[in-house]
Amino acid sequence: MPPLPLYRFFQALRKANFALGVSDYSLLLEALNGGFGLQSEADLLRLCRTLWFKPGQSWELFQEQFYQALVEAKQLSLPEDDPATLEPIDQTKQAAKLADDAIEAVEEALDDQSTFESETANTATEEESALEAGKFVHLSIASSAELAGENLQSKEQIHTQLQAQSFIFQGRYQPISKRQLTQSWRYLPDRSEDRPTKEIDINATVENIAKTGRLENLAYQTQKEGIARLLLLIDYEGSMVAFHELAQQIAASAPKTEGKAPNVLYFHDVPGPQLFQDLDQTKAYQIQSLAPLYRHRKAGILIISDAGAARGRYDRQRIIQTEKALLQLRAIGQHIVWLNPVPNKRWAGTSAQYINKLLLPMYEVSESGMQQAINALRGKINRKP
Amino acid sequence: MKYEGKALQKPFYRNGVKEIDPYFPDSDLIEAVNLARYLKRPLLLMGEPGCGKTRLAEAVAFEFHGEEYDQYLVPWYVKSTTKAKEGIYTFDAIARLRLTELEKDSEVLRQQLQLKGKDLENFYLENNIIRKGPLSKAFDLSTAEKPTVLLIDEVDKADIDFPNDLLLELDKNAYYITETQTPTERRKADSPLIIITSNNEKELPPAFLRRCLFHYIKFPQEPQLRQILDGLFDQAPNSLKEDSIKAFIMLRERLIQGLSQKKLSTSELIDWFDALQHQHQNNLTIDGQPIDKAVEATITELTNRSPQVPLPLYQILLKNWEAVLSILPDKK
Repeated sequence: MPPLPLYRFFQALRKANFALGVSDYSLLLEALNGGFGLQSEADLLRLCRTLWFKPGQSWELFQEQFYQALVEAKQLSLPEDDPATLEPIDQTKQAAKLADDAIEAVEEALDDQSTFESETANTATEEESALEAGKFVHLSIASSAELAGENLQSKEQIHTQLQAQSFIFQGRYQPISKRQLTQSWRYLPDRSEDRPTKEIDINATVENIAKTGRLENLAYQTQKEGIARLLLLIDYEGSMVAFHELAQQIAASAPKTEGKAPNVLYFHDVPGPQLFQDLDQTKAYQIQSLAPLYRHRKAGILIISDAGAARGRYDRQRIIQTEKALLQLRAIGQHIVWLNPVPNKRWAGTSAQYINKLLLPMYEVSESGMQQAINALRGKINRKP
Repeated sequence: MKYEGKALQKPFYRNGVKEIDPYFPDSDLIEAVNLARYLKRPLLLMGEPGCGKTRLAEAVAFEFHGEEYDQYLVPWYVKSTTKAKEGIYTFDAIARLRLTELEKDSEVLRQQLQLKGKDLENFYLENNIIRKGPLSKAFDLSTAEKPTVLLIDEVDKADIDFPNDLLLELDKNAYYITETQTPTERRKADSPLIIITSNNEKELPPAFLRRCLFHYIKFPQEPQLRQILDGLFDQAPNSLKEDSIKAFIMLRERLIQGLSQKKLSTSELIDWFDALQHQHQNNLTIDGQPIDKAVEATITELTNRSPQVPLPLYQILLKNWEAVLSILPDKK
């Protein structure tokens, strides 16, 4: 017996990373038995939406899969009086009409897709690589004819070329959700604390005895845990255009500290010798000039950059310059960690691979990558050989 | 018991005082409520601020229980510091300690404190040592014939782990009091209708979402807005209603196009129209113009896409500087 159409729909959604389990499927059957969603195709879609669709998921994808399943169901033409079919669609005479509608809907969707593809094919090389990377990171791109430049805040700096193409990055489907980000940061103690260890601090104990004339209490050695403050260094412009939204989300969720020392600084390609305070990269800091701010306690530094992986390039000069910049950064950073928005599997052969191998730990932006990066910021580096 | 969304076509008055405004749910929302009721699952509502998420609970309770609705509506307004346990019960440890002191002089009290299980729980409840929270109140009161409506309002205000702490209670329709070791379980059929609202300020955990039905309340269309104004202000002239709604919709679209972060909401239309019709009734003028003429002028200028749009009582609708500047640049 061919699989039931709603089951195909269910499977397709599962494949598309909708968090659905068997209980969700039986919930749908229960609702169908209760007389819900039987009026029409739209009614059935509405029922599926209420039961299976959750905030933050792609509604377009959900609909597409629904119609796709209907079309396939029609092609398979199930026997009419199959008692196992709980689906009303196959039992109604409307089935043919519904399927036709569905085909139209799918064709429309496909049309949309092809116009989208042909338009993107014309983009400048810079955006091309950004969009190409988007295939992996699921950035959604929406038409925005109504977006006139005058209303955009200059600070946000959506790329002028992107405006000319009438696309903006919505940043809705990221490799890591805001919630996962917030949760990851909880593992980073926000203040460096002196934690006592089991090791006796002999010097301090002798001093105690000398002061009081007897052995009153043992002094233990302490160990510093966590970092005093966090400094984010974000690569901006160029190949990072596609990841601006993601980088901003990471920055927004990161713990912030009060005081003179900055929480976020920007750079382009190489994190030094200058770092910029603003997105327009007008107000620059020399790394050395930052050093006095971290004299007493160094910072944890998190660098967010594709390190050449977005365009798949190997650039020897870039690696050398990065090494120089890192040498300077070590003066202010206790632990330096690199977060790469391009997935791990695309680093091979690019500058990213060499920076990771030779210079410092690099992690991809994903739930586990983020956790490892935060562990590394705490000084607990777990690197594969 | 089926929700039809028909009970609140007119405001509800008690002793001459208006208690509930009319409420007009669309058919999608009505179906979602019935589905939640049938499957005994919580209904998670999202939508623009002011679109009537919170008010649904009141409307459903009123339709189910009529004038007695307030006995069956249990609201739980979540704040940024709210803990999940507060929804179930709070235990006053200081009061319990005080009883230990009094126990020395009272034989009766001594015996009472020896009680176990349910009896001890009842004793604690009588003495206000255990206070039930909204969640357990709603569970206790609810029956299949007279279901309560539990409103968990703005669930996203609390810590990101808050919803996770409620999973067991929502799943099993049960709660447990640790101090008396008394489990309380209800029949699934007796479940209350649980309505949860969120403004999506924080993402909700997947495990929590999995247990909820989800419905997004769309911004109402023109006929629905008309219905709402008709229900609220039956005395006001129709032409003024028509024009106000038209101006409001055009203004809303213009502000959205201007990338304003703050969208105009239904509740703002109600406030605005309330003020307009009040001024109209008393024949007050704005800048020397009667109210209906002023609203007409607003529509004309919005249609012409003029950079400067005269907007009577703009303070009610424009809530940030960008919005004011994009409609009334001369305020600069």
